[in-house]
Amino acid sequence: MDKWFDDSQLDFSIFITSRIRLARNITQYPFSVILQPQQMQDILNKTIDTVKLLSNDFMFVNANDVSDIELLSNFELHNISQYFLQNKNPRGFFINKDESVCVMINEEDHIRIQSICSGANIFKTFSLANDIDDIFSQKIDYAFDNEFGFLTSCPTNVGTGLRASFMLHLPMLEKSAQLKNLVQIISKFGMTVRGLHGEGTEPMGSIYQISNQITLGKSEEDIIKNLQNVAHQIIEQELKLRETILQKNRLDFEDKIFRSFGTLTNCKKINTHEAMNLLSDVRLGYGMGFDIPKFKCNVYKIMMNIQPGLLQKNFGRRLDEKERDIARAEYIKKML
Amino acid sequence: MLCQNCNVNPATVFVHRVINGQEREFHLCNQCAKQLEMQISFEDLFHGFLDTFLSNDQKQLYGQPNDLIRKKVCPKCGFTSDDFKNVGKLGCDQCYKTFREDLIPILRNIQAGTRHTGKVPGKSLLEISYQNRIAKLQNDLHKAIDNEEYEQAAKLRDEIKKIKEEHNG
Repeated sequence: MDKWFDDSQLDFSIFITSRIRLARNITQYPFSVILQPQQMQDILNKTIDTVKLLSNDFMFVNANDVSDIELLSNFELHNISQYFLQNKNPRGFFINKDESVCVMINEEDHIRIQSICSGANIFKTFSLANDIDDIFSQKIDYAFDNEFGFLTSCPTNVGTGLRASFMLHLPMLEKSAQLKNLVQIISKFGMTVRGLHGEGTEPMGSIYQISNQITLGKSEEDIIKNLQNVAHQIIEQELKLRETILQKNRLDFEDKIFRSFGTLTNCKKINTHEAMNLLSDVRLGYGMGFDIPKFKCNVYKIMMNIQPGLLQKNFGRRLDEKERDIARAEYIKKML
Repeated sequence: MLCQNCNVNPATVFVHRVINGQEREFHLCNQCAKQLEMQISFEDLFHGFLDTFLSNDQKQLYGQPNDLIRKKVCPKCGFTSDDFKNVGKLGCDQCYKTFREDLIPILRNIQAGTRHTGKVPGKSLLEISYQNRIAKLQNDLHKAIDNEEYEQAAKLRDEIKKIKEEHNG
């Protein structure tokens, strides 16, 4: 079955993914800050029973039953968060077959429903998560209040419990000084910019996540529409910069992109950071219509597969840093 | 947890006092906490003039004036307003009601408003529609009784009973 990231047209879009997260809690249990391990286990059992009753589409993964590489791979695929990856509490996640919907149990909130689609499909992505939310709410009493909406562990998520985000590829904005100004401006619209893996992570491969910060006082639809407006304005700036460089200095620019492709496909070893930057150059080249040979899959899929967790998982064994750099270079060559 | 003073109402206020140099904490209900606060503000006013009117037991229990810190405590999970300030997170759903006054200014700062305008979960929708239906029927019932339409009132009473039975399942 094709996964959400098997999108052959993805290389030509600045939008890499559209993502939704809904934060929910169960009214009968305290929130995560004071939740005891036995209560976490109870919540896991309760949600497993609920999902069994309601849907056959989901597989359950108990986080304490799988290897650290397996968990890291799921983090790199955006199925689980950094918080979920790092703690050792009883916790698990449900994931559907094309991996477009994943529900984390015992993250910062009891239930975190997430959906992801390639490209600019934010409303479709929202309906995926929203449907699962409706199913859960038939069997689970959510912590909900008429005044404050869905009640969450942290008041920054209360209300809709919604975090909508776009992952954008912004290499030209990153190189210009404009990105910093843009970050400041969009924060005034209740939005924020983060790195590849969200909160507290560094940007890699010129990939940025923009998402809403406001969750209360606006409806889900308004939050998503605001995000779309802001994203389109950012993309307009990126496209303008791409056009300017073509007019001013096409040859030097094209030369740099093709050299990046050359290094990427001929090197014998390469670290994640360098590979991400070179892949970003190649992706930019595709987006600008340069005649660069295509890989067997889209560049973003390669970007995920060269991360340490997925690289080791696909290689079939644990690798040290040096071995990973060699395996990464071999993998990229194989994808030509 | 019950109020340590009256042992009747749930404790919703956390009182911290220094008695003979030692810190002591009391869990009180709102009523007892208010009484204590009034007592202490009187004491402040008369600088100990009323001291003689405070029973020795009260002095023993609540210590000396000027060292009262009023803290709220969530009756469901025991989270205090200090916990909330330190962690920046809440202990349970009830905390949103307990610390409502502390939360509103924070929400005003970080959110677009202080009232939810989005999705309502299916169960709550049903609950809201059930409560609205019952409220309307009860209103009609009172009107029917006031107008001495007893046949209509009996029908409404039966209908309310039936809906309540169905709801409570």
